Amino acid sequence: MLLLKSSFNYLCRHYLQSMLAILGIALGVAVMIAIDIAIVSSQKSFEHATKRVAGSATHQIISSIRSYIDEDLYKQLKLDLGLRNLAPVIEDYVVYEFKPDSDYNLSIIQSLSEKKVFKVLGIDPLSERAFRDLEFGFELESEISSSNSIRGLISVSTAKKLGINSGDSIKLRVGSLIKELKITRLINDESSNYDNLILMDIADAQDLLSLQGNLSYIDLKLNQDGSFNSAFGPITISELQEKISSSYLIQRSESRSEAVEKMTESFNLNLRALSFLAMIVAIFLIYNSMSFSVVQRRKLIAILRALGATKQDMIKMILAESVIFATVGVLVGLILGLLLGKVLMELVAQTINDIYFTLEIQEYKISSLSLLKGVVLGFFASIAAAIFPAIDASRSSPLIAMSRTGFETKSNINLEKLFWFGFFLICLSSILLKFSANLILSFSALFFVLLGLAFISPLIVLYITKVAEPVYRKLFSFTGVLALKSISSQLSRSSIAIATLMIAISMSIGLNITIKSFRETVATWLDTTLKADVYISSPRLVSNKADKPLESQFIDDLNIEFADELHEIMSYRNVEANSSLGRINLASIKTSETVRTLMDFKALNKKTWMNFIGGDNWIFVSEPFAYKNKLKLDDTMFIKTLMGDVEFQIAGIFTDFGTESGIVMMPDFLYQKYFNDYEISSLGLVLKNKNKASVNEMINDIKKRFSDEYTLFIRSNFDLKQESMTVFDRTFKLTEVLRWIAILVAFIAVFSAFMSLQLERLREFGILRATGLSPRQISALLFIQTLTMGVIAALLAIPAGIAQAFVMIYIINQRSFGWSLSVSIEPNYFISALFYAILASSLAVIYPIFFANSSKITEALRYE
Amino acid sequence: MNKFKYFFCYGSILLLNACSNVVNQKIEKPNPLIEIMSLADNSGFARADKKIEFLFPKDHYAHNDFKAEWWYFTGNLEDNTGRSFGYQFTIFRNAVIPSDLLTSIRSAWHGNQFYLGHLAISDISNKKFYSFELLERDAIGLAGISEKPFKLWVNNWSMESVFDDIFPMKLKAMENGVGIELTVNPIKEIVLQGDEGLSQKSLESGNSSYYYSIPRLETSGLIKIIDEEFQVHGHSWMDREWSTSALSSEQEGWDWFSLQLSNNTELMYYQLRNKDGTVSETSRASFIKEDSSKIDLLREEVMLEVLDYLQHKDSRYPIKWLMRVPSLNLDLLIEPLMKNQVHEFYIPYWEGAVKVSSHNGLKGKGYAELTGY
Repeated sequence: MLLLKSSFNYLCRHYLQSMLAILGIALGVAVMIAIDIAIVSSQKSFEHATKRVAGSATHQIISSIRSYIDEDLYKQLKLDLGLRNLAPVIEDYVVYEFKPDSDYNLSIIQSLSEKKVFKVLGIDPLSERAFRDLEFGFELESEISSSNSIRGLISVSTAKKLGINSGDSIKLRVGSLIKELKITRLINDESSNYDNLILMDIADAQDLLSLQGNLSYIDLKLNQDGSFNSAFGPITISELQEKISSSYLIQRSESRSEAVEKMTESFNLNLRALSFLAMIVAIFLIYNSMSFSVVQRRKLIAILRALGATKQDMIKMILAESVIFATVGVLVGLILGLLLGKVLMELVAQTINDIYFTLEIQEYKISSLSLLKGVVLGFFASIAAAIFPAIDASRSSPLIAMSRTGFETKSNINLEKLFWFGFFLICLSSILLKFSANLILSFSALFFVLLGLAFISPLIVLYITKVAEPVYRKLFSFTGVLALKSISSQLSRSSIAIATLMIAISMSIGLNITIKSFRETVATWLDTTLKADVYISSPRLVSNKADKPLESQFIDDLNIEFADELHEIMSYRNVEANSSLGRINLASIKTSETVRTLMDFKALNKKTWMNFIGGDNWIFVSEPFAYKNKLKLDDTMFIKTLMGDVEFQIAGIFTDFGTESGIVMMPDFLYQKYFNDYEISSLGLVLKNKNKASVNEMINDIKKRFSDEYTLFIRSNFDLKQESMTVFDRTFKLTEVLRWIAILVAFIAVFSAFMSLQLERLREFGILRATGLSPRQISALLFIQTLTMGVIAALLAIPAGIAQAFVMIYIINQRSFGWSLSVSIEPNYFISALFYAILASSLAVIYPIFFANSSKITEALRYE
Repeated sequence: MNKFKYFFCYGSILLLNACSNVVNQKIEKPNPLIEIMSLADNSGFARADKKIEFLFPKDHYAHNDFKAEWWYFTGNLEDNTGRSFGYQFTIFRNAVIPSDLLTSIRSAWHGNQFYLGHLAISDISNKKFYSFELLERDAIGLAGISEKPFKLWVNNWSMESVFDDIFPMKLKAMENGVGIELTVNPIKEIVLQGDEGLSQKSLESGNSSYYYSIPRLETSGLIKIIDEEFQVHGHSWMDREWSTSALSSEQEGWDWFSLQLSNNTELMYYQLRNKDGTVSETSRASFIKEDSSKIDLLREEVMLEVLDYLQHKDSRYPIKWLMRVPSLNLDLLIEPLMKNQVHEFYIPYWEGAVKVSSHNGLKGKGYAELTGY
C-alpha cells in the first residue's frame, strides 16, 4: 500500500513523462489496430462480395481457357446429364457515371463520387431457388424474360445513396459502350447483400454486357454425401469432370476468395510489417519511459529497500506502474486506432483497386481479434519494457542505489558485451536474410538488424564522444566538453534516446530510399515501354487492366479513317488463362520491330526474338512471374488452350511493373490459333508525326469522331506515364502515412527521452549554477548536448537506413513481388534526416532549458 | 377438364414470388392461388370465348396465344406379376406476356414461355409415392415444343412421337433414379369435352377453356424405381386443355375424376367448389360410351358423397366417395389405391390412382385430383 502510494505520488509529480509514455503506447497500439482493421476490412469486404454472389453454391464450373463458358454446357449438363441443383450466372462490372444534381444539398454531393462501380449479377430465377433466397422475388411480367428494355433491380440503400428511384432509367458504361438500364424495382435488403449490385435476369444481363451465348460460371450444389443430384441418381465430382470437356473446371466456390487472399498476401504482410515497425519504436519509447522512471527513483527505491521492502516488492511496484501505463495507453490507443483504421481502410481499398481488383463494397469491419491483438501487444510491450528496469531496481543494494554513479559504472562494463551482442544479432540476421526465402523470416531478420543496431550504438556513441572531445573543446570550450561528458557519463540514458532516434530516422531513410528507387525504376521502365504516341482502351475499372475489349467496328474505322496519320498500330489482348502454374494473366501482342524495342529484357539471347516470332510455341514471361514460379530462360510450362494443354517454352524474361502477379506474353498469331479469340483490349498508335501538338490533335480528332458511339480511354504517351506515376504514388501513400506515424512515434520518444534526461539533472544544474555558471551557459550546455545526440543519431541512422533499404529492395521486395529495382540514393534523404534529428532534439530541449533556468539554485540543491 | 387455373397459375406463382411473401400469405389466406389468379393481367392473350373447329394434329401442339396450356397423362399400370402402379406425367406451358408485345430479342435466354413438369409414381404394393417437379424457361433448348416430329420437353423429361404421326407417343421422365419410359397409343377416339370442346369454368364470359381428352390409351413400357425396373402395361388417360382466363374469385378448388370402367366406358367428372362450401353450377361430367360417343351430364345429374377423409398436414382431403348417376344407372364406390398421394409442392394437392367398384359387378380404375384443400 505504501509502495503504491509512493509510486502514485511519483507518477503524478512527473505527469509529463507519464503522459509521454502513455502516448507512446497509445500510438503503437493505434497503428497496430488501425492496420489490422484496414486489412481485415478489405478481406471481409471481398469475402462478403464473393459470398453474397455465391449464395449456397458449393462449387462452380468455370472455363479454364476463356473468361466465359458457353451456355450450351449448361444445357448439356441439364438435359444430357440430368444434373440438378445448378444455376447459370453472369457476373461482371459496369460503371454508373453521373453528375450530382445541383439540387442536392452539399453534404450529399460530397459523399458521392462521380463514378460508381456496380457488379452485375445475371441469374435465372427459376434455377436460383436452390441457391439464393430471393425473398424479394422476381416479378414475372416486369423482370424476367420479356424485354423491350434491359431491366434490373438494385437495393434500396444503394438507390437512396445515388438518388435513383424505381422506374428510373440509368445510363451505365459497359466497356466502351453506354447502355440504358431500367430500374424496375428496389430490393428491400437489410443485410446489405445487394449493395452496389445490379440483379437482373440472365437474358437481360447477356444483353447489357453483350455476352450473348456466354455464362460467367455455373453454380453447383454438392450434397452432404459428396455427390451431385441428377435425374439418373447421384453423380460424383470426378464422374462429372470426366463427362465434360477438360476445358471446363469444377472448382470449389471459395477458390476465388482464396485466390484473392493469396494475391494480396504479400501486400498485407508488408503492411503488417510496417505496423510492427511502428510498434517496435513504441516499445523503445515505453522502455525509455519506464527505465527512466526507475533510474530517477533510485534513491527513493534505495530508501524503500532500506526500510524493508523486498526485491519482489520493487519488481511488483514497477510492473504495476507499467500495467497502469499500459491500461491507459491501450485505451487511448484503441480509440486512436479506430479512427486511424477508417483512414487507412480507405487507402488500402484504393490500393487494392489500383493493383489487384475492384473491391465492390467497402465495409468498416472491426473484428474483436484486431482489437485483442492491439491490446495484448500493448500490454506485452509495456510490461516487457518495464521488466529490465524493474529487475535492475530490485537488484541494486540500498547502498549502491543511493550513490549516484552506481548505475552508470555498471552499464559501462556492459557496453562491450552489448556491442558484441548487437553485432552478433546483425550477423545472425544477415545470414537469415541471405538464406531464408520466407517473407516472415525476412521481416523478423530486419527487426533483429534494427535491434542489433540499437545495441551496438552505445559503444559507438562513447567512441564518438571521445573522438569529438578535442573538436568540441576548440569550438565550444568548457561548455562543449561538459556537454560531451554529460552524454558519455549518462550513457545508459542517452544511448537509449539516441538509439530510438536512430532507428526512427533510419526507418525513414530506408523507406524513402526504397520508395524512391521503386519510383525511379518504374519511371525508367515506363519510358522504355511506352513508345507509342497514343494509347486507346476501354475505360478501366482496375488501373492496370483493360477489362473489356474494344469494339471491332471501332478498330476497323480507326484503321481506315486515320490511315494517313498512322505509322503503326500495336494491338494487345489481355485475358486470364489457366496453366500448369495456376491461373495466369495472358497478354497477346502483335509482334513487330517496334514491339521488340519496347521490351526491356532481363534475360534474352539473340535467337529468342526470332523464336518468339518464328511460329513455334514460345512465350515471354515477366520478371515477377518468372521469380514466383521459379522459371528460367528455356524452361517450359503448359497452358490450357482450346486444343488442350499446350507446352510453351520461355524465350525471354522481361521487366514489367504492370501486374503484380506477373504476366505471360504470347505473339498474337499463336494466341489466336490456340484460343480463337480475335478481340483487342488496347491499341498503341505510333504516329508519323510525333510532335506534341500533332499528337494532341490526333487525340482530339479521334475523340471527336468516336465519342458519340463509344466511351474510350484515350491517352497520350505523356499522360499515360503521368497517370501511371499517379497510381504509383497513390499505392505508396499508405506506406508514406505509416512512415510518418513511425516518425511521429519516434519524435515523441526522443522528445520524452531527451527531456527526461535533462530533467533528471536539475540538481546537477543547481550545483553548476552554484559554482558560477550563468543561465545562458547552462542553456548552451543543454542545447549542445541534445543537439550532439541528435546529430549522432542521424549519423548512425544513415548507414542503418541504407542497410534497411537494401534489405527491403533486394530481399523483401524481391521475395514478395519479384521485382528487381535499381537503387537510387540521393543526398537530400540524409539532409532531411539530419534536419528531423535536429528539429526533434531542439524541440525537446526547450522545456528543460526553461525549467533549469527558472528553478532556484537553493531548491535544486536541497537534495544534497 | 380439371386442373384449370390452378396450374395455369401455378408456374406464375412460383415465378412471381420466388418465396416467402406468399408462404406467409398462405397462412392468413387459405387459398393463395385464387388470389393471385384474380390479379393476373391477361390482356393481350386470346380467350376461349367461342366454339372452334378442332384440327388434329395441329391442336396437339402449343397454342402460344393463350396464356396457359397442358398435356396431361395419368394411368394405372401393372407388371406381369400383377404388381400395380399409378403414374401422372404433366407438362404445363405458361406464357409471360402476349408474344406480339415482344420486340427484337438478342439473348437466347429471353423465353416468353415457361414449362412446368409434374411427375408422380404411386408404387401401390409398397405404399410409396414419388413426386417431382421441374420448371424451365423456353430458352437455349431447356424446354419447349417442336411439331414435326412432335416433341414437348422440360429439361430431360419429354413427350415425343415415336414416328411421324403424333401417336404412338413416348413419355420419358426420370428424377433421382425414379421415372417412367412409356409408350402410349390411343384405343379410343378423341373426345371434345364441354360444348364441342369449349368448357365453361365459371359464369363470367370468357372464363372457359378448350378441352379435349383421349379417354383410353394402350400403355406399355418401363417404370424405374431406383435400382428396380418393372415392365408394365395398362391404360392411360390423356387430357389437353388451353385457356387464358382465370377462375372466378368465388371458387376455391376442385375435385376431378377420370374413371375407366371395365365395360370399356369412361366417366369424367369435375366439380368446382365455391368458398361457401357449395358446388359450382359449372361443374360437369361426361360419360363416354364404347364407341367413343359422349353423353354430357349436368351438375345435378351427378351425386357425390364423401365416405372418408385423409388428414395430411393442414389439409383434410376427401378420399373415398360414392358417386351416383341415376340417369345412367351408375352407382360407383371410389377408393384410393393408396392413401397418401399428396404432391408436396409449393402449392400441395392430392392426385392419385383410384379403384372403382359397384354392387352390380362393374369395376374400374382411374385417377382423382383434389385441389384447394
